[in-house]
Amino acid sequence: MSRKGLSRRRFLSGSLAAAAAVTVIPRMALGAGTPAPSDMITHAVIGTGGMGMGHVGYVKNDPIGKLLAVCDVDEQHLARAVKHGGCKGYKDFRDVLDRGDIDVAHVPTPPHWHGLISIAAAQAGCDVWCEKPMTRTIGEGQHVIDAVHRHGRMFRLNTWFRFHRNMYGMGCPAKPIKKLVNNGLLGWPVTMLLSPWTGFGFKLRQWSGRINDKPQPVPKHFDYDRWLGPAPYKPYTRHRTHGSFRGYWDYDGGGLGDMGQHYLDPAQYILDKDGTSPVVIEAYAPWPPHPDAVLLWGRVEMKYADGCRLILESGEWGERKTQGRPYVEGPKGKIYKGFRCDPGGLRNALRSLPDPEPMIGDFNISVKTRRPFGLDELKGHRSCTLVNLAKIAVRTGRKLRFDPVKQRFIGDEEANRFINQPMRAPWHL
Amino acid sequence: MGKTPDSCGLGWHVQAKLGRGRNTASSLHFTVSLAAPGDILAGVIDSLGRKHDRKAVSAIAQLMRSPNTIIAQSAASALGNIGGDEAAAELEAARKRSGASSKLRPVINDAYLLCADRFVKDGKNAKAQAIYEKLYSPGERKHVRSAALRGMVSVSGDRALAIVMKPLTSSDPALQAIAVSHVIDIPGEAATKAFAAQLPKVSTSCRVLLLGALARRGDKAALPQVVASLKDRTTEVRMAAAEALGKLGNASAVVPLASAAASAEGAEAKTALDSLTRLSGPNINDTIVRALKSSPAKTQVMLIKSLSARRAIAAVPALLKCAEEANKSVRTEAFKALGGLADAKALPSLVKLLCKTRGASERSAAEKAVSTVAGKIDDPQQRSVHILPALPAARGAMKASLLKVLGKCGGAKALDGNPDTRWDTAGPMRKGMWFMLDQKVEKQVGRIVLECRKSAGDYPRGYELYLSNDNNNWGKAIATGKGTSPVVTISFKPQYARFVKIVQTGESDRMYWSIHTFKIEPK
Repeated sequence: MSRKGLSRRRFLSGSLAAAAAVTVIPRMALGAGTPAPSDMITHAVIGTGGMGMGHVGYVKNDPIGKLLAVCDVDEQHLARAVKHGGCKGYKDFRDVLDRGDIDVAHVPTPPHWHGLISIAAAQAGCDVWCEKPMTRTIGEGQHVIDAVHRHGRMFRLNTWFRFHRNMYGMGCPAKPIKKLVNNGLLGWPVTMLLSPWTGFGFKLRQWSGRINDKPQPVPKHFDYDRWLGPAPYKPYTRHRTHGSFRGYWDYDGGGLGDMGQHYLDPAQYILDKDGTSPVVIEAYAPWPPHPDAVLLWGRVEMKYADGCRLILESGEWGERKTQGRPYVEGPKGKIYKGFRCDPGGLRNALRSLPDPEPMIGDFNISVKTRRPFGLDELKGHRSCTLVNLAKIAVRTGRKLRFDPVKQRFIGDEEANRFINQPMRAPWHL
Repeated sequence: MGKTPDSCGLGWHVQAKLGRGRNTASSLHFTVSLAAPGDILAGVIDSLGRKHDRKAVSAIAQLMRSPNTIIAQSAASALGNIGGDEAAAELEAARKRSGASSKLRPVINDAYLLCADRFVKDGKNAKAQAIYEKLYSPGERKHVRSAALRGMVSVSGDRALAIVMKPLTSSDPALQAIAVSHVIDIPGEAATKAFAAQLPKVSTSCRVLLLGALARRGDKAALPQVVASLKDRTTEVRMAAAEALGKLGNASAVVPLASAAASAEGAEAKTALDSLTRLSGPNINDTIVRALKSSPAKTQVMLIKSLSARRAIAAVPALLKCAEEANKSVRTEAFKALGGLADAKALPSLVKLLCKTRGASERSAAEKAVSTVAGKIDDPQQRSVHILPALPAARGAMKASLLKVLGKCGGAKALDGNPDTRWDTAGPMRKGMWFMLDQKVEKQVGRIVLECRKSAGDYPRGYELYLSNDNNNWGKAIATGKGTSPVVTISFKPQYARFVKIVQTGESDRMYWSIHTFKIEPK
């Protein structure tokens, strides 16, 4: 075949397997100088609302990233993204994936679209950079894993607190805490507490839905039907969509959806629970929950088979049971907000403790070397499962028992129906 | 598209009515699926596919010919979910009908792969293999071929190695890259050796990927070829080899990695050094210490750095010898390592070595080592015991060094609660002089009181107060000010800290800076 006849993707996979020649160059070198066109990674951003524009920025600031397409069902969003991204705009994500020249598809849509678009992107041979929470249901997460594995794709979930940066109220990265916990300096099992008192607020009121809004006319620039996609049809109100969609169960899970995976993924990493899930989940929340609008909850407790526990407390409803307690608590020690340790000597031990296994924290390296990203589809699914378990516990209002291997609730078919929720035709997994 | 609550809910309705069982599906599928219009039909097809009802296959297969792409894609996807001989045959026929660039093609391929995977689960490997081989054809896109190759490997048993070796040894870099992604899938030492033997033969880009794959296999049988790749002419390959050795290597990798780190620069040197630090297995630290004796200076520096990072406390005697080496870089690096690794037993030797240092950078490293090691002694009164005897004989810069060290670790007299004793700077106060207190644990700090009534003029002319929890990250000054009397009280918003440091910002031509009592109060 002549060079002329090669599509962009085949060109990348063919003669430009030479792209792999830079595979182990660390990130600082990836940014050095002007990369050859052949070393560029092509991107498309599907969903260009608030976070979507953030993803456009990621690509624009990446020295080896080239933005080829943006996509949105709101013409105003799309026009803004086209202008900023300097690339072609699409209204239908399937047309973007049909291009055949996209290396990485970004999925910063509302969460009810994450699973479907990620799967379609994997089928189209794209690597996937998905916004958190990874999927709206546990079942969608399982399908994403299947699709990504079947097609040998790389997957990155977009939360980063297991890698670097200070973890909200802790004022330090997850790594030193993980070293203390995994090396038994706090004893075992340990309890982790995510609450405003430990520096992790869930913003429940900010992300609450409305229950009395009257239907409004759909703006002409907005394809509401396409925005709903797999979600059940509900009359349009402005509040259901841009910037406030998390307040409705059909699209996300309120503050749990917004902040949950940011907080729970590092917790899962610190506890070394990347391959499993809790076995008991219980929520303390107003009863009955509203069937459409996500409102308040007080506390969610999750317990693993080995006795480790995660406690989420919102501080926005019900009694405040955990105020003053530490972020991590074990039989031998505690770590408080701001990485204050009790006993104080705990921090001195850090230098002599082995570092955790290194992870790839630069998706360009994963894409080029085909080595899994540090927060890939498997780990992302497990930490998103924590979010989804908490949501289901709030919605069912009873103690749930979960089989972390089969990923099904034990003896509770009502809860199991939340794992695989039907989609509105024609959308399906 | 279903735009009303009534029409859009049909897919849900069908799914709910059919439940999880299969028995009702067959009685409903023809009537419902053929009668439903447009997008609703797509939802119905999906629901039928989820029931795995093979009687629905031919009806659904017809719908793959629909001009409505959504319906055709739903039909293909449903056939993949149903699986079995008939669904596979229909999908193969649809593949032949659709062009490689058809919008239907990715969905058909996905469904066809799903069919093959279901055959594997049912133990029908031959049928699965036939599908995988078709999907591995050169006309398919890379990810489809890769998925097909994975399937072929999974069902081929003993032939799996040969199947992967064929594309790996081809002259097509694209095929090589696909093959490398399956190197991890084939177990056994023989396979490791076979793959490793390909390292010198494959393209440069493939070599990089293959080294990564061999590292992930974790089989030390690949070591000789991986070590040899440290001398590859391409930087990327050398870095990949170094990185692989961090996971695969044993004691035999110590010298090659240290030499690689010494001969490289920047990221390449760091990769080799990181791997040297990560090496696991018996006798690694002993091997590093032995290598110190026979290695050139640059390599010695890397070996010392790795001992420091590996927290090799048993290497302290060897490091003390290195601190006497002829090469300045080796001596300096040894001092740096000793600061972290040595304990009080090594302090007399360290003080002697400090007095022999040549040059400012080496001396600074030695000072830091001595003060750090002295600081490890719990009893503050004992910290200066090994340092003071060296003071009378010291001259010039050495004396200044010892005084500096004593200033750092000799805080007892300021903290003994006795206003008749004092800590002082042994000379007129100058900008940059500092006094630090390690409280040993984090405590709330809200007020500091510096008192020097018995040396009334020795109050700090200016000060900056810093707090830290780790003696490294000090941040910005918590408080700044000027002293005007023998009691200087510094109040600020209370916070938790272990280390408290006062830095002198004023100067005096003749007055020392003295502290008779130093109080820390929570608020």
